Amino acid sequence: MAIAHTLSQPLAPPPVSIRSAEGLAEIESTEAVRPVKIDIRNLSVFYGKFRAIAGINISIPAHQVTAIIGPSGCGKSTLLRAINRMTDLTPGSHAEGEILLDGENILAPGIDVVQIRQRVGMVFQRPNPFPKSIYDNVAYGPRLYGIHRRTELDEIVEHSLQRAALWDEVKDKLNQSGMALSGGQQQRLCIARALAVEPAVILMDEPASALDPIATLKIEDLMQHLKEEYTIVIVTHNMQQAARVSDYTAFLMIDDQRAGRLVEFGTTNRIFTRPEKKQTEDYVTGRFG
Amino acid sequence: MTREILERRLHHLQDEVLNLGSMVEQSSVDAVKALRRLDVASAQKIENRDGFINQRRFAIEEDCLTLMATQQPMAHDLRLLAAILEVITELERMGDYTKGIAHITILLEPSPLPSALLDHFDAMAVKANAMLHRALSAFVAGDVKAARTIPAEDDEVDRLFNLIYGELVERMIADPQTVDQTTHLLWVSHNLERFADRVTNICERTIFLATGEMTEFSASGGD
Amino acid sequence: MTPGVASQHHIRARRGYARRKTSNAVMLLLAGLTTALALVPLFWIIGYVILQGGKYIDPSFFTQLPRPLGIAGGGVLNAIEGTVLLVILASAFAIPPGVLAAFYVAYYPNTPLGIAIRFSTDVLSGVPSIVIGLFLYALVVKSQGHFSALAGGIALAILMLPTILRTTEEMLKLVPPALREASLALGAPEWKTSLSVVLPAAANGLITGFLLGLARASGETAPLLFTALGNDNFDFIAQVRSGLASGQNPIKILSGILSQPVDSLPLTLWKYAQQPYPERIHQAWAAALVLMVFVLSINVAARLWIVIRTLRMQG
Repeated sequence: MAIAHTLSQPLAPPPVSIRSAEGLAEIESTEAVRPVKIDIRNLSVFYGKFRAIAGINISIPAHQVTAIIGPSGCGKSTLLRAINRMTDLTPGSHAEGEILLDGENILAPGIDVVQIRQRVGMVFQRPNPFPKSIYDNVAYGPRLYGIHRRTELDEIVEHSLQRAALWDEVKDKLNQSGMALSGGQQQRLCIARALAVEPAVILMDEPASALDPIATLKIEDLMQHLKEEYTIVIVTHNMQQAARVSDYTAFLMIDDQRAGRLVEFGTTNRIFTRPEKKQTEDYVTGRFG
Repeated sequence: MTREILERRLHHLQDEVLNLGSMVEQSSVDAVKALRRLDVASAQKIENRDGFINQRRFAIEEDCLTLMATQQPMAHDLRLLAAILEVITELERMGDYTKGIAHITILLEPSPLPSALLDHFDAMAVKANAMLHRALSAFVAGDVKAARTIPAEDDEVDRLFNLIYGELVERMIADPQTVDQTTHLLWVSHNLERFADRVTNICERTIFLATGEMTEFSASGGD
Repeated sequence: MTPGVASQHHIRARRGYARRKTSNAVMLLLAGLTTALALVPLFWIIGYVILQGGKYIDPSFFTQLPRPLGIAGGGVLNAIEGTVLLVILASAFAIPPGVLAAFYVAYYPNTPLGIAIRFSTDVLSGVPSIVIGLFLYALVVKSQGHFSALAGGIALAILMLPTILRTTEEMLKLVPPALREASLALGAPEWKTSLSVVLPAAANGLITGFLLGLARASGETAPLLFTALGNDNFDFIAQVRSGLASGQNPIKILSGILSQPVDSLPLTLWKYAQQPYPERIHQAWAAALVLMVFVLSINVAARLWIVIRTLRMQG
């Protein structure tokens, strides 16, 4: 089965080297050339009759951190959850438009949602480890996809925990319950759990909002390392965090019909130093809520 | 209004920049006057005042850094603070130039100076000060149009500089005894010319503040 | 504010404080007294049963079948084994439908089926147990032609079902939706999520629900009157042993066991208590003690399991 095969293959190296410390000019000039991982075209999501987000057009670049910011209720989470079809879980919801993941429209009828969710992982606002051991938490995903051999699982668990910068802290207590960890560790465990199924994209819905400042900074550091292998999309209501952590920023706002719309999208550097739209300027300078 | 504290502090900072500017303006006027009258006592006072200018400059700089750390300014606010930091540096250098002129007044022998030359110096100083005054007003008001036109006026100052240069060289050739004095006077005109050049930089910052783009107006002569 | 007014306020606050302290103490006392009062019946019953039944307990009580009157000794092995068998049967019949239906109701509460299930369960929990026994008599006993453990097990299962369903449903609703979402986001299908994540998370509550149902079922007499009847010679351990020894097919052994009438502790208790013979009365008290200890120990054991499990969860 394709998924099991994918899991044992090494990931292809990122097409554009994006290690930090490159000059602003260089990033700007490669902006047009950077490959697009997720192409969102004219996306609207409805909950029953209510349109939560309308006409969203964003091209999310591969191997970058893209932040989605905006005031409360502007549809940031809805947009994020549409990317891995978690919006389907809300009864009465439906989506219009297209979301192209590597060129394939994941909103098309007949698409295997399970496959989507393997390729697009998610980390939630409050850490939500399963009430199982640390090992079983991380192994849950691979086991879903048919990996049961102990040696393989051991390797995947260690690798995932290392990539989530948690291995050293838990390697001696893999059998302890995942709920026994601190908040920041739990969130990294959730990240390891998401990484274990070898996704291409990681969605993070306000991943640090329930954590203390030090844990938050650790998660932010982690994101910078993770983007080398994955594409990351993060929703955050903390503007400074968006500025610290992301390479690209999308700013959403509600229109008169209370539907969220994209106001501006660009490199984080530009959005926070020279935004084009006044609404964006007002928001990032804190001149309105 | 949200961010009232930040707004207030930013306005206060801009006022402080204007104050610093007028201190520098005053110094340059006084320095040229002291030179004309060869008034060593005034010149000494002007030199001492430069200490105040530096102090004020550092106080403004510290305020800027504090605001950056505590208020996390973005976009326009951020560019404003960055621009203020640059402008006060320029003003401090301009203060140094006037201090240099005052210092030369102290060094000069008490022999009379050619009045035509002194008139030229006056003209340069008046022009440069006018430029500075308008440039700072444009900076605080965000007046991009004014900021774009002021640098052109530097040409007038450069013209005067070249004129003075020519006259001084002639003077040196004609009477080698005056080399010492003439060299000092060359420095005075150099300082005035550089003073005006710095005003151009302030205009560049004004444009940057409004548009986020750095444009360079070609400066004549080096430092 | 003038000093006079301030001190007036101060004094008023102090007076209020004394009043509040006394009323608090009075309330506390009342609460404690009424709690103690509520506990009195429990301890009285336990104490009385221990007193009355304790003197008639001996090892043979647990290991021997009843002997005819006049002959010394004898025990209630049949009843003990019967109770165990009935409880196992009832659990087996009640837990799967109860838990599965609870899942359905928890996930789809506003569908016609969900509403129907909840409503029927509520009604079912109000049906008198003797009526259930009668119903099964007509359904199972008559069609089979004999009383049986099977019928008794089904009767008790019907009694346990509402409790299990309702408690499971409540516990499932308490599981944070984030847990379910986390599993779904990894690509797990809904059923796997329910089984591997939601169920274990709700396990503590499920155990409690099961216990409550069990306690009720093991103490029931009325439904067993028409289904299990009672059986002085019931001893399934011996049956299994002899069956295996004689090479019988295990399924045959099982069906043999299930199709017999069985006894249970409450049933035995009820029978003996009605007889005029002092011996039987004594044995009734002893049986009551055994039953009580049986239910209590299941409770304690399960609570212990929950505590250990919770401690392990917290690392």
